[in-house]
Amino acid sequence: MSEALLTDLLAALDVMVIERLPDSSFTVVGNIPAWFTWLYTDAAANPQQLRLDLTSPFLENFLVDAEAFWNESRPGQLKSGSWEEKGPSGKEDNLEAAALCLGDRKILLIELLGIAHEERRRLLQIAREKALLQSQLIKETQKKEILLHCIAHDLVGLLMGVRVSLSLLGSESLSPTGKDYLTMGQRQYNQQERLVNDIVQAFSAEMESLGTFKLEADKVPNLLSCTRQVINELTAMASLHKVNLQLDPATDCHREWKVVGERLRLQRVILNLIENALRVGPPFSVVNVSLHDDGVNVILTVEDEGAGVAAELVGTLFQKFAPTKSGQYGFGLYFCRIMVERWGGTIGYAPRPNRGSRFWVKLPKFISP
Amino acid sequence: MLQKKICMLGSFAVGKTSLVARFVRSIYSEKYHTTVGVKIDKKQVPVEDKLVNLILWDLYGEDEFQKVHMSYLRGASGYLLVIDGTRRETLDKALVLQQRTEEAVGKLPFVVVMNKVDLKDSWEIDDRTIEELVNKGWQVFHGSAKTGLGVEDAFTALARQLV
Repeated sequence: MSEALLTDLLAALDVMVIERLPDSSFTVVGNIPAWFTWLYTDAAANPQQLRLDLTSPFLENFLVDAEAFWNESRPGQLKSGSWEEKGPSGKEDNLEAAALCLGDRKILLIELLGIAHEERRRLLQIAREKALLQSQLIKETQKKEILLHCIAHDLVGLLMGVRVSLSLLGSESLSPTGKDYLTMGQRQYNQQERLVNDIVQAFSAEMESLGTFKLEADKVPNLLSCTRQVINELTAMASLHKVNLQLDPATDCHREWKVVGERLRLQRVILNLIENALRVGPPFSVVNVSLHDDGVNVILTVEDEGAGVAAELVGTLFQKFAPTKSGQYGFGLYFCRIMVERWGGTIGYAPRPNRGSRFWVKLPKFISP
Repeated sequence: MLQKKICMLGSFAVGKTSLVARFVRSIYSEKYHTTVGVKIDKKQVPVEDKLVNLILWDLYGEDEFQKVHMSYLRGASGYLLVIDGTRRETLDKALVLQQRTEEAVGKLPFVVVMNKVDLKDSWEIDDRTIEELVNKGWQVFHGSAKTGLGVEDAFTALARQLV
Protein backbone atom coordinates (compact mmCIF):
# COMPACT_ATOMS: atom_id res chain seq x y z
CA MET A 1 0.00 0.00 0.00
CA SER A 2 1.41 3.37 -0.94
CA GLU A 3 2.08 5.85 1.81
CA ALA A 4 -0.39 8.32 0.29
CA LEU A 5 -3.15 5.73 0.27
CA LEU A 6 -2.34 4.74 3.84
CA THR A 7 -2.51 8.36 4.92
CA ASP A 8 -5.85 8.81 3.18
CA LEU A 9 -7.17 5.60 4.69
CA LEU A 10 -6.20 6.60 8.21
CA ALA A 11 -7.70 10.04 7.67
CA ALA A 12 -10.94 8.46 6.46
CA LEU A 13 -11.05 6.16 9.51
CA ASP A 14 -10.42 9.17 11.75
CA VAL A 15 -8.17 7.06 13.95
CA MET A 16 -5.05 8.38 15.61
CA VAL A 17 -2.18 6.02 14.76
CA ILE A 18 0.95 6.19 16.87
CA GLU A 19 4.08 4.14 16.64
CA ARG A 20 6.19 3.38 19.63
CA LEU A 21 9.81 3.67 18.57
CA PRO A 22 12.68 1.57 19.93
CA ASP A 23 13.90 4.54 21.98
CA SER A 24 10.53 4.47 23.83
CA SER A 25 9.33 7.67 22.20
CA PHE A 26 6.11 7.92 20.21
CA THR A 27 5.55 9.28 16.75
CA VAL A 28 2.42 9.91 14.78
CA VAL A 29 1.74 7.86 11.66
CA GLY A 30 -0.21 9.77 9.04
CA ASN A 31 -2.02 12.91 10.02
CA ILE A 32 -3.31 13.87 13.43
CA PRO A 33 -7.12 13.80 13.49
CA ALA A 34 -8.72 17.13 14.31
CA TRP A 35 -10.37 15.77 17.44
CA PHE A 36 -7.00 14.74 18.89
CA THR A 37 -5.60 18.25 18.45
CA TRP A 38 -8.79 19.65 19.93
CA LEU A 39 -8.60 17.42 22.99
CA TYR A 40 -4.83 17.31 23.48
CA THR A 41 -3.46 20.54 22.04
CA ASP A 42 -0.15 20.37 23.94
CA ALA A 43 0.54 16.75 23.04
CA ALA A 44 -0.30 17.35 19.40
CA ALA A 45 2.22 20.19 19.13
CA ASN A 46 5.06 17.82 18.31
CA PRO A 47 3.86 14.83 16.23
CA GLN A 48 7.35 13.39 15.78
CA GLN A 49 8.06 13.29 19.50
CA LEU A 50 4.54 12.82 20.80
CA ARG A 51 4.24 13.40 24.54
CA LEU A 52 1.56 10.94 25.57
CA ASP A 53 2.09 11.92 29.19
CA LEU A 54 0.45 15.21 28.21
CA THR A 55 -2.73 13.46 27.11
CA SER A 56 -4.61 11.65 29.81
CA PRO A 57 -3.89 9.77 33.04
CA PHE A 58 -6.05 6.99 31.61
CA LEU A 59 -3.81 6.60 28.57
CA GLU A 60 -0.71 6.72 30.73
CA ASN A 61 -2.14 3.88 32.78
CA PHE A 62 -2.99 1.88 29.66
CA LEU A 63 0.51 2.29 28.26
CA VAL A 64 1.83 0.07 31.06
CA ASP A 65 -0.38 -2.78 29.82
CA ALA A 66 0.41 -1.89 26.22
CA GLU A 67 4.17 -2.13 26.88
CA ALA A 68 3.75 -5.62 28.29
CA PHE A 69 1.62 -6.54 25.29
CA TRP A 70 4.17 -5.23 22.78
CA ASN A 71 7.09 -6.83 24.58
CA GLU A 72 5.42 -10.22 24.38
CA SER A 73 4.49 -9.61 20.72
CA ARG A 74 1.04 -11.02 21.43
CA PRO A 75 -1.34 -11.58 18.54
CA GLY A 76 -4.53 -9.57 18.14
CA GLN A 77 -4.95 -6.33 19.98
CA LEU A 78 -5.23 -5.14 23.53
CA LYS A 79 -8.08 -2.73 24.11
CA SER A 80 -8.10 -0.17 26.86
CA GLY A 81 -11.83 0.08 27.37
CA SER A 82 -13.44 3.46 26.90
CA TRP A 83 -12.75 6.63 28.79
CA GLU A 84 -14.32 10.03 28.75
CA GLU A 85 -12.46 13.17 27.86
CA LYS A 86 -13.71 16.71 28.19
CA GLY A 87 -12.63 19.15 25.51
CA PRO A 88 -11.99 22.89 25.98
CA SER A 89 -15.67 23.64 25.30
CA GLY A 90 -16.75 21.25 28.01
CA LYS A 91 -18.14 18.72 25.51
CA GLU A 92 -17.56 15.13 26.59
CA ASP A 93 -16.12 12.64 24.13
CA ASN A 94 -15.42 8.96 24.57
CA LEU A 95 -12.19 7.42 23.39
CA GLU A 96 -10.70 3.98 23.27
CA ALA A 97 -7.11 2.91 22.70
CA ALA A 98 -5.76 -0.34 21.36
CA ALA A 99 -2.25 -1.74 21.27
CA LEU A 100 -1.16 -4.07 18.50
CA CYS A 101 1.95 -5.41 16.87
CA LEU A 102 2.55 -5.20 13.15
CA GLY A 103 5.56 -7.41 12.66
CA ASP A 104 8.06 -5.90 15.04
CA ARG A 105 6.41 -2.49 14.93
CA LYS A 106 4.51 -1.44 18.02
CA ILE A 107 1.36 0.44 17.23
CA LEU A 108 -1.07 2.35 19.38
CA LEU A 109 -4.46 3.32 17.97
CA ILE A 110 -6.71 5.89 19.57
CA GLU A 111 -10.26 6.11 18.35
CA LEU A 112 -12.94 8.66 18.99
CA LEU A 113 -15.96 6.56 19.78
CA GLY A 114 -19.06 7.63 17.99
CA ILE A 115 -22.51 6.27 17.37
CA ALA A 116 -21.65 2.66 18.17
CA HIS A 117 -20.46 3.67 21.61
CA GLU A 118 -23.50 5.83 22.23
CA GLU A 119 -25.69 2.93 21.16
CA ARG A 120 -23.88 0.64 23.57
CA ARG A 121 -24.25 3.16 26.36
CA ARG A 122 -27.94 3.48 25.61
CA LEU A 123 -28.41 -0.29 25.70
CA LEU A 124 -26.56 -0.56 28.98
CA GLN A 125 -28.64 2.29 30.35
CA ILE A 126 -31.83 0.47 29.41
CA ALA A 127 -30.56 -2.87 30.71
CA ARG A 128 -29.54 -1.37 34.04
CA GLU A 129 -32.73 0.61 34.43
CA LYS A 130 -34.66 -2.58 33.75
CA ALA A 131 -32.54 -4.52 36.23
CA LEU A 132 -33.25 -1.87 38.86
CA LEU A 133 -36.94 -1.93 38.06
CA GLN A 134 -37.12 -5.69 38.13
CA SER A 135 -35.41 -5.86 41.48
CA GLN A 136 -37.73 -3.17 42.83
CA LEU A 137 -40.75 -4.96 41.41
CA ILE A 138 -39.81 -8.25 43.02
CA LYS A 139 -39.36 -6.55 46.38
CA GLU A 140 -42.60 -4.61 46.04
CA THR A 141 -44.52 -7.71 45.01
CA GLN A 142 -43.26 -9.59 48.03
CA LYS A 143 -44.20 -6.73 50.32
CA LYS A 144 -47.59 -6.49 48.67
CA GLU A 145 -48.29 -10.19 48.98
CA ILE A 146 -47.54 -10.09 52.67
CA LEU A 147 -49.39 -6.83 53.19
CA LEU A 148 -52.50 -8.11 51.48
CA HIS A 149 -52.59 -11.11 53.76
CA CYS A 150 -52.09 -8.93 56.80
CA ILE A 151 -54.72 -6.34 55.87
CA ALA A 152 -57.32 -8.99 55.21
CA HIS A 153 -56.46 -10.75 58.43
CA ASP A 154 -56.52 -7.59 60.53
CA LEU A 155 -59.74 -6.17 59.11
CA VAL A 156 -61.64 -9.37 59.64
CA GLY A 157 -60.18 -9.84 63.11
CA LEU A 158 -61.09 -6.34 64.30
CA LEU A 159 -64.59 -6.61 62.96
CA MET A 160 -65.14 -9.88 64.77
CA GLY A 161 -64.19 -8.09 67.98
CA VAL A 162 -66.77 -5.36 67.33
CA ARG A 163 -69.47 -7.94 66.62
CA VAL A 164 -68.78 -9.82 69.84
CA SER A 165 -68.85 -6.54 71.82
CA LEU A 166 -72.15 -5.49 70.27
CA SER A 167 -73.62 -8.89 70.93
CA LEU A 168 -72.54 -8.72 74.60
CA LEU A 169 -74.02 -5.24 74.83
CA GLY A 170 -77.32 -6.57 73.44
CA SER A 171 -77.53 -9.09 76.25
CA GLU A 172 -77.47 -6.28 78.83
CA SER A 173 -80.69 -4.58 79.97
CA LEU A 174 -80.44 -1.33 78.07
CA SER A 175 -82.64 1.74 78.26
CA PRO A 176 -84.79 2.45 75.17
CA THR A 177 -82.25 5.11 74.12
CA GLY A 178 -79.44 2.63 74.73
CA LYS A 179 -81.24 0.09 72.52
CA ASP A 180 -81.54 2.73 69.80
CA TYR A 181 -77.83 3.39 70.02
CA LEU A 182 -77.14 -0.34 69.88
CA THR A 183 -79.30 -0.69 66.76
CA MET A 184 -77.43 2.24 65.25
CA GLY A 185 -74.13 0.58 66.14
CA GLN A 186 -75.24 -2.74 64.65
CA ARG A 187 -76.33 -0.98 61.47
CA GLN A 188 -72.92 0.68 61.24
CA TYR A 189 -71.32 -2.68 61.92
CA ASN A 190 -73.30 -4.32 59.11
CA GLN A 191 -72.25 -1.60 56.69
CA GLN A 192 -68.68 -1.94 57.80
CA GLU A 193 -68.81 -5.70 57.43
CA ARG A 194 -70.10 -5.39 53.87
CA LEU A 195 -67.33 -2.91 53.06
CA VAL A 196 -64.65 -5.11 54.59
CA ASN A 197 -65.97 -8.17 52.79
CA ASP A 198 -65.82 -6.26 49.52
CA ILE A 199 -62.24 -5.24 50.23
CA VAL A 200 -61.21 -8.71 51.29
CA GLN A 201 -62.82 -10.17 48.19
CA ALA A 202 -61.03 -7.66 45.99
CA PHE A 203 -57.76 -8.53 47.68
CA SER A 204 -58.52 -12.22 47.42
CA ALA A 205 -59.00 -11.80 43.69
CA GLU A 206 -55.65 -10.09 43.52
CA MET A 207 -54.05 -12.77 45.67
CA GLU A 208 -55.57 -15.31 43.33
CA SER A 209 -53.82 -13.67 40.40
CA LEU A 210 -50.58 -13.44 42.33
CA GLY A 211 -51.06 -17.01 43.33
CA THR A 212 -51.65 -18.37 39.87
CA PHE A 213 -48.71 -20.56 39.15
CA LYS A 214 -48.20 -22.29 35.87
CA LEU A 215 -45.04 -24.26 35.38
CA GLU A 216 -43.43 -23.75 32.02
CA ALA A 217 -41.25 -26.66 30.98
CA ASP A 218 -38.46 -24.45 29.64
CA LYS A 219 -38.34 -22.40 32.85
CA VAL A 220 -38.15 -25.21 35.37
CA PRO A 221 -35.60 -24.18 37.98
CA ASN A 222 -32.65 -26.31 38.89
CA LEU A 223 -32.43 -26.26 42.66
CA LEU A 224 -28.71 -26.88 42.63
CA SER A 225 -27.88 -23.98 40.32
CA CYS A 226 -30.28 -21.70 42.24
CA THR A 227 -28.59 -22.70 45.49
CA ARG A 228 -25.14 -22.21 44.05
CA GLN A 229 -26.04 -18.79 42.76
CA VAL A 230 -27.37 -17.72 46.15
CA ILE A 231 -24.32 -19.12 47.93
CA ASN A 232 -22.17 -17.24 45.49
CA GLU A 233 -24.06 -14.02 46.17
CA LEU A 234 -23.78 -14.47 49.91
CA THR A 235 -20.17 -15.59 50.10
CA ALA A 236 -18.98 -12.08 50.82
CA MET A 237 -21.66 -11.63 53.46
CA ALA A 238 -20.62 -14.93 55.05
CA SER A 239 -17.04 -13.78 55.16
CA LEU A 240 -18.16 -10.53 56.78
CA HIS A 241 -19.92 -12.55 59.47
CA LYS A 242 -16.90 -14.89 59.63
CA VAL A 243 -19.18 -17.83 58.90
CA ASN A 244 -18.19 -20.67 56.62
CA LEU A 245 -21.03 -20.98 54.10
CA GLN A 246 -20.86 -24.21 52.14
CA LEU A 247 -22.76 -26.44 49.84
CA ASP A 248 -22.59 -29.83 51.49
CA PRO A 249 -19.64 -31.64 49.89
CA ALA A 250 -21.76 -34.80 49.70
CA THR A 251 -24.18 -33.10 47.30
CA ASP A 252 -24.31 -34.87 43.97
CA CYS A 253 -23.49 -32.10 41.53
CA HIS A 254 -23.63 -34.29 38.44
CA ARG A 255 -27.33 -35.01 38.44
CA GLU A 256 -30.26 -32.75 37.67
CA TRP A 257 -32.12 -31.14 40.55
CA LYS A 258 -35.12 -29.81 38.69
CA VAL A 259 -38.07 -28.91 40.88
CA VAL A 260 -41.47 -27.33 40.58
CA GLY A 261 -41.16 -23.61 41.24
CA GLU A 262 -40.18 -20.24 39.84
CA ARG A 263 -36.50 -19.57 39.58
CA LEU A 264 -36.38 -15.98 40.89
CA ARG A 265 -38.74 -16.61 43.78
CA LEU A 266 -37.03 -19.88 44.59
CA GLN A 267 -33.75 -18.03 44.81
CA ARG A 268 -35.43 -15.51 47.12
CA VAL A 269 -36.63 -18.35 49.36
CA ILE A 270 -33.14 -19.87 49.51
CA LEU A 271 -31.67 -16.41 50.06
CA ASN A 272 -34.00 -15.77 53.00
CA LEU A 273 -33.12 -19.06 54.64
CA ILE A 274 -29.38 -18.70 54.19
CA GLU A 275 -29.39 -15.03 55.19
CA ASN A 276 -31.17 -15.93 58.41
CA ALA A 277 -28.64 -18.66 59.07
CA LEU A 278 -25.75 -16.27 58.47
CA ARG A 279 -27.25 -13.70 60.83
CA VAL A 280 -27.58 -16.14 63.72
CA GLY A 281 -24.46 -18.20 63.06
CA PRO A 282 -21.66 -17.29 65.47
CA PRO A 283 -18.24 -16.38 64.06
CA PHE A 284 -16.24 -19.35 62.79
CA SER A 285 -19.32 -21.55 62.61
CA VAL A 286 -20.58 -23.36 59.54
CA VAL A 287 -23.76 -22.86 57.57
CA ASN A 288 -24.30 -26.04 55.61
CA VAL A 289 -26.66 -26.21 52.67
CA SER A 290 -27.55 -29.62 51.32
CA LEU A 291 -29.84 -31.22 48.76
CA HIS A 292 -31.49 -34.61 49.09
CA ASP A 293 -33.90 -36.64 47.06
CA ASP A 294 -36.61 -38.78 48.62
CA GLY A 295 -37.80 -40.16 45.31
CA VAL A 296 -40.77 -37.83 44.90
CA ASN A 297 -39.43 -34.59 46.31
CA VAL A 298 -36.20 -32.72 46.54
CA ILE A 299 -35.31 -31.41 49.96
CA LEU A 300 -33.12 -28.39 50.54
CA THR A 301 -31.75 -28.10 54.04
CA VAL A 302 -30.04 -25.10 55.62
CA GLU A 303 -28.29 -25.78 58.90
CA ASP A 304 -26.65 -23.27 61.17
CA GLU A 305 -24.85 -23.41 64.51
CA GLY A 306 -26.71 -20.53 66.14
CA ALA A 307 -28.71 -20.62 69.33
CA GLY A 308 -31.73 -22.18 67.61
CA VAL A 309 -35.29 -20.93 67.71
CA ALA A 310 -36.85 -20.45 71.14
CA ALA A 311 -39.44 -23.16 71.84
CA GLU A 312 -42.27 -20.64 72.24
CA LEU A 313 -41.63 -19.23 68.76
CA VAL A 314 -41.44 -22.49 66.85
CA GLY A 315 -45.20 -22.84 66.39
CA THR A 316 -45.61 -19.45 64.75
CA LEU A 317 -42.34 -19.28 62.89
CA PHE A 318 -43.87 -19.30 59.42
CA GLN A 319 -46.85 -17.12 60.19
CA LYS A 320 -47.30 -13.46 59.35
CA PHE A 321 -46.55 -11.16 62.26
CA ALA A 322 -44.87 -14.10 63.94
CA PRO A 323 -43.60 -12.86 67.29
CA THR A 324 -39.84 -13.01 67.40
CA LYS A 325 -37.33 -12.05 70.01
CA SER A 326 -35.19 -9.95 67.75
CA GLY A 327 -37.18 -9.65 64.55
CA GLN A 328 -34.70 -11.95 62.85
CA TYR A 329 -37.31 -14.05 61.10
CA GLY A 330 -40.00 -11.41 60.50
CA PHE A 331 -41.88 -11.66 57.24
CA GLY A 332 -39.19 -13.58 55.40
CA LEU A 333 -40.22 -17.03 56.55
CA TYR A 334 -43.87 -16.24 55.95
CA PHE A 335 -42.98 -15.33 52.40
CA CYS A 336 -41.01 -18.58 52.07
CA ARG A 337 -44.00 -20.60 53.24
CA ILE A 338 -46.53 -19.02 50.90
CA MET A 339 -44.17 -19.44 47.96
CA VAL A 340 -43.25 -23.04 48.71
CA GLU A 341 -46.89 -23.99 49.30
CA ARG A 342 -47.83 -22.33 46.03
CA TRP A 343 -45.52 -24.78 44.28
CA GLY A 344 -47.03 -27.72 46.13
CA GLY A 345 -44.18 -28.03 48.58
CA THR A 346 -43.71 -27.74 52.32
CA ILE A 347 -41.33 -25.91 54.59
CA GLY A 348 -40.32 -26.65 58.12
CA TYR A 349 -37.97 -26.20 61.00
CA ALA A 350 -36.34 -28.58 63.43
CA PRO A 351 -33.72 -27.90 66.05
CA ARG A 352 -30.42 -29.66 65.51
CA PRO A 353 -29.45 -32.29 68.10
CA ASN A 354 -26.66 -30.30 69.70
CA ARG A 355 -27.02 -26.68 68.74
CA GLY A 356 -28.45 -24.70 65.91
CA SER A 357 -31.37 -24.74 63.50
CA ARG A 358 -32.30 -26.82 60.51
CA PHE A 359 -34.70 -25.28 58.02
CA TRP A 360 -35.87 -27.43 55.17
CA VAL A 361 -37.86 -26.91 52.00
CA LYS A 362 -39.45 -29.89 50.29
CA LEU A 363 -40.40 -29.34 46.65
CA PRO A 364 -41.91 -31.75 44.15
CA LYS A 365 -39.41 -33.03 41.62
CA PHE A 366 -40.09 -31.89 38.10
CA ILE A 367 -41.06 -34.80 35.90
CA SER A 368 -40.87 -34.19 32.16
CA PRO A 369 -44.26 -34.65 30.53
CA MET B 1 1.74 19.52 45.09
CA LEU B 2 0.86 16.03 46.19
CA GLN B 3 -1.11 14.06 43.59
CA LYS B 4 -3.22 11.10 44.67
CA LYS B 5 -5.23 8.78 42.48
CA ILE B 6 -8.51 7.69 44.02
CA CYS B 7 -10.88 5.15 42.45
CA MET B 8 -14.61 5.00 42.90
CA LEU B 9 -15.76 1.41 43.25
CA GLY B 10 -19.16 -0.14 43.64
CA SER B 11 -22.07 -1.81 41.94
CA PHE B 12 -23.98 -0.01 39.19
CA ALA B 13 -26.39 2.77 40.14
CA VAL B 14 -25.04 3.17 43.67
CA GLY B 15 -24.19 6.82 42.99
CA LYS B 16 -20.45 6.89 42.31
CA THR B 17 -20.70 9.46 39.53
CA SER B 18 -23.16 11.52 41.56
CA LEU B 19 -20.81 11.55 44.54
CA VAL B 20 -17.97 12.80 42.35
CA ALA B 21 -20.24 15.42 40.77
CA ARG B 22 -21.34 16.58 44.21
CA PHE B 23 -17.80 16.67 45.54
CA VAL B 24 -16.12 18.29 42.54
CA ARG B 25 -18.84 20.51 41.09
CA SER B 26 -21.43 20.70 43.90
CA ILE B 27 -24.14 19.50 41.55
CA TYR B 28 -26.63 16.65 41.58
CA SER B 29 -28.98 15.30 38.97
CA GLU B 30 -32.00 13.12 39.78
CA LYS B 31 -31.68 11.36 36.44
CA TYR B 32 -29.77 8.09 36.44
CA HIS B 33 -27.11 8.21 33.75
CA THR B 34 -25.10 5.03 33.61
CA THR B 35 -21.31 5.23 33.29
CA VAL B 36 -19.91 2.96 30.61
CA GLY B 37 -16.19 3.72 30.69
CA VAL B 38 -13.93 5.68 32.99
CA LYS B 39 -14.30 9.35 33.87
CA ILE B 40 -11.47 11.23 35.45
CA ASP B 41 -11.94 14.35 37.53
CA LYS B 42 -9.65 16.40 39.70
CA LYS B 43 -10.09 18.32 42.88
CA GLN B 44 -7.68 19.95 45.23
CA VAL B 45 -8.31 19.51 48.91
CA PRO B 46 -6.40 21.01 51.81
CA VAL B 47 -5.21 18.41 54.26
CA GLU B 48 -3.64 19.90 57.33
CA ASP B 49 -1.04 22.29 55.90
CA LYS B 50 -0.80 20.60 52.50
CA LEU B 51 -2.78 20.92 49.32
CA VAL B 52 -3.55 17.54 47.78
CA ASN B 53 -4.62 17.12 44.19
CA LEU B 54 -7.06 14.23 44.08
CA ILE B 55 -7.34 12.50 40.70
CA LEU B 56 -10.72 10.82 40.90
CA TRP B 57 -11.22 7.79 38.69
CA ASP B 58 -14.91 7.17 38.41
CA LEU B 59 -15.12 3.58 37.21
CA TYR B 60 -18.25 2.13 35.67
CA GLY B 61 -20.33 0.10 38.07
CA GLU B 62 -19.82 -3.60 37.97
CA ASP B 63 -22.69 -5.83 36.93
CA GLU B 64 -23.37 -8.80 34.69
CA PHE B 65 -22.62 -6.70 31.61
CA GLN B 66 -19.33 -5.12 32.64
CA LYS B 67 -16.58 -6.32 34.95
CA VAL B 68 -14.18 -3.75 36.35
CA HIS B 69 -10.65 -4.09 34.96
CA MET B 70 -8.38 -4.28 37.95
CA SER B 71 -5.64 -2.63 35.86
CA TYR B 72 -7.56 0.64 36.31
CA LEU B 73 -6.56 0.52 39.96
CA ARG B 74 -2.86 0.57 39.17
CA GLY B 75 -1.17 3.49 40.88
CA ALA B 76 -4.20 4.23 43.04
CA SER B 77 -3.47 5.58 46.48
CA GLY B 78 -6.89 4.73 47.82
CA TYR B 79 -10.50 4.16 46.91
CA LEU B 80 -14.07 4.89 47.87
CA LEU B 81 -16.27 1.84 48.15
CA VAL B 82 -19.81 2.96 47.45
CA ILE B 83 -22.88 1.09 48.63
CA ASP B 84 -26.52 1.95 48.00
CA GLY B 85 -28.24 1.57 51.36
CA THR B 86 -31.56 0.87 49.66
CA ARG B 87 -30.18 -2.18 47.80
CA ARG B 88 -28.82 -4.95 49.94
CA GLU B 89 -27.14 -6.63 46.98
CA THR B 90 -24.82 -3.65 46.49
CA LEU B 91 -23.22 -4.42 49.84
CA ASP B 92 -22.45 -7.95 48.69
CA LYS B 93 -20.95 -6.59 45.47
CA ALA B 94 -18.88 -4.05 47.44
CA LEU B 95 -17.48 -6.81 49.64
CA VAL B 96 -16.48 -8.81 46.58
CA LEU B 97 -14.92 -5.76 44.90
CA GLN B 98 -12.98 -4.87 48.04
CA GLN B 99 -11.57 -8.38 48.17
CA ARG B 100 -10.67 -8.37 44.48
CA THR B 101 -9.05 -4.96 44.81
CA GLU B 102 -6.93 -6.17 47.69
CA GLU B 103 -5.89 -9.22 45.71
CA ALA B 104 -5.02 -7.10 42.68
CA VAL B 105 -3.21 -4.12 44.20
CA GLY B 106 -2.72 -5.03 47.84
CA LYS B 107 -4.04 -3.21 50.88
CA LEU B 108 -4.86 0.41 50.13
CA PRO B 109 -6.58 3.01 52.29
CA PHE B 110 -10.27 3.22 51.56
CA VAL B 111 -13.51 4.50 52.99
CA VAL B 112 -17.01 3.14 52.61
CA VAL B 113 -19.83 5.45 51.64
CA MET B 114 -23.30 4.17 52.47
CA ASN B 115 -24.99 6.36 49.91
CA LYS B 116 -28.63 7.50 49.67
CA VAL B 117 -29.00 8.26 53.35
CA ASP B 118 -31.76 10.67 52.26
CA LEU B 119 -33.79 7.50 51.63
CA LYS B 120 -32.98 5.99 55.02
CA ASP B 121 -36.55 4.77 55.49
CA SER B 122 -36.08 2.48 52.50
CA TRP B 123 -32.73 1.09 53.55
CA GLU B 124 -32.27 -2.64 53.37
CA ILE B 125 -28.99 -2.67 55.25
CA ASP B 126 -29.40 -2.74 58.98
CA ASP B 127 -27.27 -1.09 61.62
CA ARG B 128 -25.89 -4.41 62.79
CA THR B 129 -24.39 -5.08 59.39
CA ILE B 130 -22.89 -1.61 59.23
CA GLU B 131 -21.51 -2.12 62.70
CA GLU B 132 -19.81 -5.28 61.47
CA LEU B 133 -18.10 -3.28 58.73
CA VAL B 134 -16.92 -0.81 61.34
CA ASN B 135 -15.74 -3.69 63.52
CA LYS B 136 -13.58 -4.83 60.62
CA GLY B 137 -11.80 -1.51 60.98
CA TRP B 138 -13.48 0.05 57.97
CA GLN B 139 -14.31 3.72 58.01
CA VAL B 140 -17.97 4.00 57.08
CA PHE B 141 -19.72 7.24 56.11
CA HIS B 142 -23.43 7.71 55.70
CA GLY B 143 -23.72 9.98 52.71
CA SER B 144 -26.06 11.43 50.18
CA ALA B 145 -24.98 12.71 46.81
CA LYS B 146 -28.42 14.29 46.62
CA THR B 147 -28.19 16.41 49.75
CA GLY B 148 -24.41 16.50 49.97
CA LEU B 149 -24.47 15.05 53.46
CA GLY B 150 -21.26 13.26 54.35
CA VAL B 151 -19.75 13.56 50.87
CA GLU B 152 -17.02 16.07 51.68
CA ASP B 153 -16.30 14.21 54.92
CA ALA B 154 -15.79 10.90 53.14
CA PHE B 155 -13.40 12.27 50.51
CA THR B 156 -11.52 14.36 53.06
CA ALA B 157 -11.20 11.42 55.43
CA LEU B 158 -9.69 9.36 52.64
CA ALA B 159 -7.37 12.20 51.61
CA ARG B 160 -6.18 12.41 55.22
CA GLN B 161 -5.27 8.75 55.14
CA LEU B 162 -3.17 9.37 52.05
CA VAL B 163 -0.85 12.09 53.30
